[in-house]
Amino acid sequence: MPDSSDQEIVEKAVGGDAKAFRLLVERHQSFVYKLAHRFVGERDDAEDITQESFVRLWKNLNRYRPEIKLTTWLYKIVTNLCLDFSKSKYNRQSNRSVELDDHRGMISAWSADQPLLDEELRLAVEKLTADFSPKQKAVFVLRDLEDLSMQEISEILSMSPGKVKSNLYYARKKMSELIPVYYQVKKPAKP
Amino acid sequence: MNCSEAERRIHLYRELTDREREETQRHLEKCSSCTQIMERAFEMQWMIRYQYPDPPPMEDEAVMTRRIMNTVHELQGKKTSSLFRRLFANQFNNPLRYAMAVVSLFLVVAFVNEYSMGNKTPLLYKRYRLVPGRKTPLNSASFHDALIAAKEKSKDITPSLYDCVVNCLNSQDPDCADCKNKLQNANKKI
Repeated sequence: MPDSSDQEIVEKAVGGDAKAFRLLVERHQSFVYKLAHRFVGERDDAEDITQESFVRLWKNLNRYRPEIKLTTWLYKIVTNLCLDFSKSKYNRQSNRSVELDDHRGMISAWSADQPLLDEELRLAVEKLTADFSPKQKAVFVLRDLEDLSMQEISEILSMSPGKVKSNLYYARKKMSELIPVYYQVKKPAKP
Repeated sequence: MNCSEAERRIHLYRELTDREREETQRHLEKCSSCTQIMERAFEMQWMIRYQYPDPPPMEDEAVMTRRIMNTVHELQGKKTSSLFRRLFANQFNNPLRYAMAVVSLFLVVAFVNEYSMGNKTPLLYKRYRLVPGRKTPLNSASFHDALIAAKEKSKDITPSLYDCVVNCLNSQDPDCADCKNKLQNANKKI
């Protein structure tokens, strides 16, 4: 079974083979967790979404169609769960516009240490995307972070290509206007 | 092309066709403010594309696998017992539960009773009059027992010709006067 393709394993799992399903979980849980974390930004929430994604996959295995890649299907399940999660979080937050003065210079990195800079960038992006609408965030994550094609994103989100482009435009526009505010690298003074 | 359309194309540069990119470039050559927007947008996209780190990995993948498989096994168990659960759900007012309890109790009492009576008078059979040949249980032992019981009850029951012959045969008395009388009577009727 280790060399079996996803399709073969899914067909066994459809028949109720829990061992086959376990193999699917071991193969894909890392990618599912990473994707969920990109959306929600918290370890515990990402783990809960990962678990729920595979449970949903198990419950809907009988709907599997071989012409669709398993990863595409998983993208759809995870994205829908993350959207539901984001929507409930988004609705709980008050409508506020990002106040530049509140955040100016909040994150700054002295050090030339790349991992630190990368982590600061990640935090900055997470703060910014928290103010995106769920759909803008979904499109941004799938296109700019996961590098999926527009066609795949359209399929996963059940959105027309025009709407995908529109959401992507607004997400990128906000990002390019605000990222210099959130993320400033202070270069050390020359001796 | 105006600046509004150019700005939109700048932010969707990766998604443009070759022709749209050429048109955008021609506009940027003439418009410095759009060029500045382009530089900022490209810098942001470059950072996101090449500098943005992957999220931290899961703490323990084996634990996650176990969590998922435990839930899957629970679901598998629930599927087979769903009908059972629906019928016997833990609801205080479920009448079916009480009906089944009463029936079970009755069956237990009936079988215990049968066992203690040695199966001689089955409780569940309808109690007809114990006249042989009339609606008696199919159990031949019961038929015979019913006959004996009926005989003993009413001593004035005249033995039938058959009884007489059987008894005489058993006692080896071919000259039984009773049998002869009965036979004569039977012939007269014929």
